[in-house]
Amino acid sequence: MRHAIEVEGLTRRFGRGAQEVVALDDVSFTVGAGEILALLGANGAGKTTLAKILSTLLLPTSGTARVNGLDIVRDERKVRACTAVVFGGDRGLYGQLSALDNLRYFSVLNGVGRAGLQARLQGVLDEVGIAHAADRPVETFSKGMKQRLHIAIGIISQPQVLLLDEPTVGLDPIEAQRLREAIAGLRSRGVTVLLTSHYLLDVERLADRVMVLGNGRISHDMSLPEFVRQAGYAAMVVITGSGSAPRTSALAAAGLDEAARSDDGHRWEVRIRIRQWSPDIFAIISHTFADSVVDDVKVEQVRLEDAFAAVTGRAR
Amino acid sequence: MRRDAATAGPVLALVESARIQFHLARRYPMMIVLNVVQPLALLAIVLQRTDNGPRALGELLISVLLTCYWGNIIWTAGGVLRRDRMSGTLARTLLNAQDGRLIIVGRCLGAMVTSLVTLAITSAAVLMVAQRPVELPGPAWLAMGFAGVAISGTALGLLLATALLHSRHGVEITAALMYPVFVFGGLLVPPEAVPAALRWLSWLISLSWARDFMVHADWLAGLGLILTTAAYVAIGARLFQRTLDLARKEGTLDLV
Repeated sequence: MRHAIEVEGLTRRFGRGAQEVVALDDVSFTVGAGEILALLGANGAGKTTLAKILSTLLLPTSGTARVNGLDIVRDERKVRACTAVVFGGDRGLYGQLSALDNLRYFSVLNGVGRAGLQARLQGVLDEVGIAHAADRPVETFSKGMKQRLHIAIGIISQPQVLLLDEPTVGLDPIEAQRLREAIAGLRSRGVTVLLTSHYLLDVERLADRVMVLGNGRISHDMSLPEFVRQAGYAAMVVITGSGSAPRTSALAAAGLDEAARSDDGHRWEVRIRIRQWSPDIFAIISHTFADSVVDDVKVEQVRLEDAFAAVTGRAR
Repeated sequence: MRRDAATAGPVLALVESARIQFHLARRYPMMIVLNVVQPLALLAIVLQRTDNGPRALGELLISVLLTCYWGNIIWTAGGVLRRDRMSGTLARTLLNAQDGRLIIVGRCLGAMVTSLVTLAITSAAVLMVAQRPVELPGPAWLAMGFAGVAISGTALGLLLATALLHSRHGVEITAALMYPVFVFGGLLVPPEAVPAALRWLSWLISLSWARDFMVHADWLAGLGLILTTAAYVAIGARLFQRTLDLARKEGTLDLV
């Protein structure tokens, strides 16, 4: 697989002497062309610093980084010509100007030529779903509309590498889903995406691979299914019922974890963590709850939050 | 998936930057003060004196225009990057596929042309209402003078915009820059009225040369205008690059 991003021994320090902070410490990794890599980590882990270096906003203290084979220090202008950065948020746009004016200006700055520009502007606004508000001042936009305009500015120059920092922050679920669909569409066009997000739903829906940064270093780098497995369980069975609560000692004897239990005297809920599915599990559960009044049984998939908590717990 | 970078050349970037600044400047409340209220006030004072002949009135008109234009240089062109920093658009403006200096030059040019056109309209309207004859230099001199003033204002804008970016007190510094040039710039206050030890200050101000060029049709003053403008460009471009390099190295300027 051709590498769209190659990072080797990247280090970035801020400040000097006793005040020195190491934001990135000897970080090395590659991202294949067309791959979506999710970059996770607690606040201050170095995610934004890494995104800023790859987008040429910051210089590394040492180490190298290449985007499409171009060095981010020596070939900065060429790197910018094939890369788009979407940092999102309320800022970064001219509020008094229309969406169309903002988009047109930043498109030309990013190298989009005059030929077919008008059609492309309209097409991208359509794609992100704000064509109806193209002539409205951006200061009248909702947060979601501003975020979609940021994405439009990012994709109009047809970048080969897209750096996305918290793309769905502050969006309602429908807006966020719409945005995820737009980003997923980029994958089908072969765009490489480096996604930084605290919203693990973004990661779950979009990422091929997950990299976790902790204290400026890479603590984990794995495929999404592998990352999910880090949670330590395959699913959670949630059983609710009424009347007297069941005795669940048989669960532990059979190797199943009772993750949580609640009981208010009338209704009870038992949560059972399944490490690995097997046909015996149904028999054990059936036997354990045979004398109880069961109202509902649900199977919940692994939560990415649990996987994240598990890996960051190990990273600390 | 390559973008057509070749077609989005420097000229298109320059024109688009100037165009966007025109749209931004139109919505800037200070534009009304600088290009309507201020010239109205100054022209009202000048026109009160009825003993000024058409030639003297022409000289005063150019001085008033250039005085108001100075306000535009420092508030609009000089504030281009400061305002971008406030709106969070600085990173996108400075770090893109084009040369950042070109973008700032385009933005300053847009601000300066907008200001010159607005000042010219205001002045023409005042003179039409006052019905006072004015003698101005020939159209060729006037055209060359205004072109020089637009270019020089753009160059000074590049320099000031970059210099003011370093400080969190850009607004205060801008306000403080206004009056020294009013007094020592040789525009409204005659150089003879300034203490001899301070007269050289007007040599550093391109608008002072521009005034002499347009009022006296003086080629030597034209050379002064070119030299001061070239100095602004050289210092501005160098300062800009240093600022950008430092920002990327030290992580300053709130680029995101």
